[in-house]
Amino acid sequence: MVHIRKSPSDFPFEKNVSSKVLPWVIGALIYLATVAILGCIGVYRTTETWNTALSEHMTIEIPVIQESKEKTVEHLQAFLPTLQKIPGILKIEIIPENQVQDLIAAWVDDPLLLKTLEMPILVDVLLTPGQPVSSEDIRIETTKVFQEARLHNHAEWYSPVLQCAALFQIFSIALALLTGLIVIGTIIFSTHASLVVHQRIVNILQLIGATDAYIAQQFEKHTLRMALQAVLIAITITSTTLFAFQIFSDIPIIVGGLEWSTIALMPVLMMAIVLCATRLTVIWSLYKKDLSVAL
Amino acid sequence: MVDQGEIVFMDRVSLRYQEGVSVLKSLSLHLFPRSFHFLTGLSGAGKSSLLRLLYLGLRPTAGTLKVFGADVQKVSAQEASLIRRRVGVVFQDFNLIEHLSVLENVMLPLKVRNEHPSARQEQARELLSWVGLEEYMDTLPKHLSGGQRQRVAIARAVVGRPDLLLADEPTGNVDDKMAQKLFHLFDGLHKMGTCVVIATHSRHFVDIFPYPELHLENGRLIPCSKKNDPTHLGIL
Repeated sequence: MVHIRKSPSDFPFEKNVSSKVLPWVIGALIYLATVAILGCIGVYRTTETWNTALSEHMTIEIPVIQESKEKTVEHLQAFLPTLQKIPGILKIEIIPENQVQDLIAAWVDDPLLLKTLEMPILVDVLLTPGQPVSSEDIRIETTKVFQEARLHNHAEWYSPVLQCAALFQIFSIALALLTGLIVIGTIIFSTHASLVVHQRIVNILQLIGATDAYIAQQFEKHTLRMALQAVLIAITITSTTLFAFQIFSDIPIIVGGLEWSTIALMPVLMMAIVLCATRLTVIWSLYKKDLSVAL
Repeated sequence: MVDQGEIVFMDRVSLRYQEGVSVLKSLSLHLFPRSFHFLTGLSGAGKSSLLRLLYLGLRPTAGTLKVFGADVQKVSAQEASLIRRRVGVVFQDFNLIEHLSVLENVMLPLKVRNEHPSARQEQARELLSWVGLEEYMDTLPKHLSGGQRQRVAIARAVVGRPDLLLADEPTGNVDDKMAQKLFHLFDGLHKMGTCVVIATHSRHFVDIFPYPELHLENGRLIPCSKKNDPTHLGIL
């Protein structure tokens, strides 16, 4: 009975300095790419929420100056049907006073002061989604009746924020892509260096009939081992970061399946990239070498 | 094993290294299955370069070289690998892989052919026992003497039952008794159908074995009349 023990690699990769450093480098890059994509998803989700909440609403602020609040509300109730006729307006309603107080409460610490403050009347204007509406028409119609009224068109201030968010998303994706490119570059460089270091063994293997694919497979196995270590490192750092965020921040980082998919797929994607880069580097280097075997 | 046809067809083959030195000049040679040739010549005559051409370590600069019917000028790397699997080579400086054990080194040609692990262990163990290295199977080559390393190299070259065996001074580091044993191993392989080419300085074995001699002088093959049978020579 022949005892079969695990066959060692044909190359002494464990002696390479890169074998010790590379898992950390790739792990850090996977972490960076994951965080960049999570950031991109986070900004996307936030802007989507804002979009729904703000872009379909305008607010009319009517200060109570000339007459009593009740009278002003009475005039306002009479005026609302006129406003409703402006194309693009779906629904108009006066925001109840207690809700207005709740909105202001965030900026006023003293509850007594809050009660004594003269609150303006706020009117929520819900716009028909996808239908253009002229904020100028609303402003003109409103100020005809309430000269001190102010229209808050959220889209006006929200637009630069959206642009900023879009820039952040582009930057995040670019960072993730750049990280992928750095991973590819690192693998090409280290594999090439390893081929040079182990040139003699490559030659011996070629002379005993090893195909380029066989030699590439040896390098791939080694890279796969390093990539698995890198993935473990990346997952550990990512988990720690998310855990720390959960403890020290109110911002929810993981909201749904997209975030979990990113955390799960990013290492798989990076491993695939790493293996492809290794294989192509070895195959290309051996192809350039042709038959020349110097021993 | 190749039953018919030439193993090596060489027609006016020349080899010049990039540095411009012409090593082999217009060599023509045919090698057939079940043939055995000694390759002789002074140091620098081109013996190692000729062997290198035969194991597809280089492409010739001029002329036609076919190994197992494949034109070496046109052969792809993939085809070269498959041809090399049919060629066993014993290098002058052994070329063992230092971090692998003796057994793993000998199994290597079978491993690259993807033979079953138990089958390759069995064959390698058997051969190592035959060359007297059964006690050194798990030893690293660096712990072996020159003669032992040479025997490992020979075992690795023949473990795959090659159709063409090329050996560069295969007995240079072993005692006479072991050298004789190894030559009988080569002889046995040749009788089983392997074409054997042995580069050697040892006149003793060239004289006692009844096989033709290919003599290289200044990069040219010089016919030797020692064996009295010009058809054995393979020189055209």
